[in-house]
Amino acid sequence: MFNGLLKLVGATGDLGIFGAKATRGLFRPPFEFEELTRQIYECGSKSVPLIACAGLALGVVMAMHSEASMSRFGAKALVPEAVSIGIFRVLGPLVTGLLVSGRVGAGIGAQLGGMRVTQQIDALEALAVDSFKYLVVTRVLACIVALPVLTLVMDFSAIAGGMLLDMVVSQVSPQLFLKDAFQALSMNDYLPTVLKTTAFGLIIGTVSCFLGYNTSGGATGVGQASTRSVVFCSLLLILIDIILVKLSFFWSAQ
Amino acid sequence: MSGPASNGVQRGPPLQPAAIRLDHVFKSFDRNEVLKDVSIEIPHGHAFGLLGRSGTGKSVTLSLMIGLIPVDRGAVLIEGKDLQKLSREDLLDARKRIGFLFQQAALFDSLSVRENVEFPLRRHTKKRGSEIRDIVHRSLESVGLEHDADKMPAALSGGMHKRAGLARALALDPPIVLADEPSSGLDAITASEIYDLLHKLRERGKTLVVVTHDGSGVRGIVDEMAVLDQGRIVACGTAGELAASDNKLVHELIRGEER
Repeated sequence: MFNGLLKLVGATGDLGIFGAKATRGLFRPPFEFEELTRQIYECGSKSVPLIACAGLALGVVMAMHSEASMSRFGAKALVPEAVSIGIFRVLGPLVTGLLVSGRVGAGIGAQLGGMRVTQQIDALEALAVDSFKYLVVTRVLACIVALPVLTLVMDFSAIAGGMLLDMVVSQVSPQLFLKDAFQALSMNDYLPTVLKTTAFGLIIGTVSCFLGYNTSGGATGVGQASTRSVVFCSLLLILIDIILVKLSFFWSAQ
Repeated sequence: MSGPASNGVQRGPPLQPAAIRLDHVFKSFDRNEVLKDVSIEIPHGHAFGLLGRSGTGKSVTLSLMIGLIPVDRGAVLIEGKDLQKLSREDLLDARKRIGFLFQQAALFDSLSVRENVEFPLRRHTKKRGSEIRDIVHRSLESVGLEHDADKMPAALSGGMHKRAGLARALALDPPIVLADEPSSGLDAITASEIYDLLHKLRERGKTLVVVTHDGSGVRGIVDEMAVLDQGRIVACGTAGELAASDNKLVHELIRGEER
């Protein structure tokens, strides 16, 4: 029990140092633009179909629930507002983060873990390449860049999903739905959530790279790195979301 | 003169530092002491074989020579530069002068054979695309893989992996080449082809270090060999000298697969 606690504290410290090193690496040359572009494509562009589909479904579900709840109070007209506020403020960033944890976090953990156990990371070092900058810093930055964009994709897909549902079920015109949905939002609904997702990107990139880069134990280790990446990223995302939501309330109050 | 630096041989002042020098090196992993006071000196242009049974620290010694892992005590000097005292940037620069053939070749599995060999050239030289393509073609031709350049590593056999790994290790034309178990997992004919390639490197004047348990395969390539056992160098000399050794382990390792 005590040993387990010590290990946890040690691993947390190692993760903190790893994250600090990765963050410092973001601002220090050489900048691996070619690899960064490739990683933004891998982490960002390739996630768009998943995020867009999930957003669409989420919007439909949100609108269905809102319809059912609001109709009890005779407030069906507020469905667009409920969908847009719920998606932009709460669900969009978090669901995007969790989906990216699953797709990208697991991928990074497995990829770097595989490279570690097959000595490809050593090979990079032997070829006089700073493997940390090449593999870790580029992936962390790619996640930081990709998350806000993916969140916007999720948000607008969800609005589209809600709009489709409202069109079919309540025969609300798309123009009216969109007008009501976006009238309910202010800059405080865009900016803090976008900034929040950069923190999500930092967490997903750092945690999954940390677990993959430090993999040991062959194929089993690679599997563990992948699974743990998803588990730890998801847990940390939810915890950080609580803190950041509180901070965003503080921001809104200013 | 290569071999353990502490073998008592008197030398005059060296004209240039040894290509590789391990000076009283100790290395442990957790509580397992892998290397205990190992000293090796390999002059430029010499070929050196490091023999030993599995798990005796041969690969660790090779990793120390390129600075992939740090020593606990002692020093590793490459062309006179102490790797422990180099900054990160200088260490990376020093590695450009060393080619490393990994035991499993460690090809980048997301890149084709051609891209693997191109990788160090694109990273570290300002050569134009056409020049790089020429160099890569010649490199792959020299290892007999010119028709497999577009294959992915997953589609290669064990021997092809090693040859592609060797082509990549030599892409920057480094003066020092380290080879970790070049014949492991290969049939006798393929292993012989790999040794032929290493022999050509020796003839080109490269400093060559081959780590292996196959003494019979490497004895025709190297000038001198050392035997590592339980973290210590227990014998050092030419293949003929070691073959005459009374030490049973040394004798068996030198005879290798002849048995």
